Amino acid sequence: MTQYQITRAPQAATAVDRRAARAQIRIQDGELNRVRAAAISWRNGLGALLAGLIGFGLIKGRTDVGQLASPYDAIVGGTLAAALVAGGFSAWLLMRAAHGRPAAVSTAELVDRSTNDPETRALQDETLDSWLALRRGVLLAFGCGFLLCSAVATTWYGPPKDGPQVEARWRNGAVLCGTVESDASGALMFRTPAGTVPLDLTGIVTLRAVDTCPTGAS
Amino acid sequence: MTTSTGHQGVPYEEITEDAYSDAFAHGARAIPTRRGVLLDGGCPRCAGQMSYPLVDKVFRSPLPPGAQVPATNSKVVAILCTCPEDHPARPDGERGCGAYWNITLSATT
Ligand SMILES: [Zn+2]
Ligand SMILES: [Zn+2]
Repeated sequence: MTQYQITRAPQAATAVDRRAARAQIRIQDGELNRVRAAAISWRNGLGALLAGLIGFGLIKGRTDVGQLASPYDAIVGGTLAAALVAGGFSAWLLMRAAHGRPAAVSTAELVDRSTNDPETRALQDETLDSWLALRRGVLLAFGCGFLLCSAVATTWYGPPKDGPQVEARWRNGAVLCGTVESDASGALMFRTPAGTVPLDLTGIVTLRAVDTCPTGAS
Repeated sequence: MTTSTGHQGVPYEEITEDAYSDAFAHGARAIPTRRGVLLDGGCPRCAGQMSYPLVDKVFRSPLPPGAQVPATNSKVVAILCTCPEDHPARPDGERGCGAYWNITLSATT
């Protein structure tokens, strides 16, 4: 921290200097109240904004993340979790800025006995802390809103999950996994990543629906 | 109206004298804070022990900023008495005994 030294001024003070000196004091008067009032306004405004966003997200579009294809369902889940964390911290910081810390502070920590006016210094510090909390809280609230919008948008417009797939096992040990469809002539075909083959139902041991085909199987 | 610290309960008067600057600089301390500098010393007029807070920035003040804390080298700063004791005839909203003066604040590191 920079150290300062006080020495005699070259010019005598004038009435203009007095006004400047008085302004320096005046602008700090009520500063904490201004921060608190601003924090309450921001808290109310951002709270309404986020509540509106959540309400809007529930009105239309897909509401079930379970209908989304992987990995978009996980992305939406993660984004929502991040939005929740950001929103929680934001609410905490805005409350901190508006009402102060909800904890007792030791007077020894607050009252700096080395200065002539400990009150000024304690007020300055609380003002600065509240002011920084307000700024961070507002930024986090916007971050939370952005994450909420991303999650909602992905839920609405993300690719739908593929239908269930079919895994067939034959007596000779062959395993195929894919979707079953019929070709132009009406014969059942088995479509797998390796290609489409006629589905030979003779000799099938098991035929079951699976959510996803195991990787490597064809 | 004299306290044990030697405070002079002089009537409030907006006044400056050439000797104030030197008298305050002698024995005053500049305490760096998170917001700027706190100038601690005795008022040259009323001898009240006072702190004058200089800050870099203030939160959304309706008034234009006054004296600024020098970031580098030295700067002449106007200050006034903020002594917490009583001074007769002091108007509402004013502080101290009314004395004001300039000092030179220089960064040493
Ligand atoms: Zn004084
Ligand atoms: Zn005084």
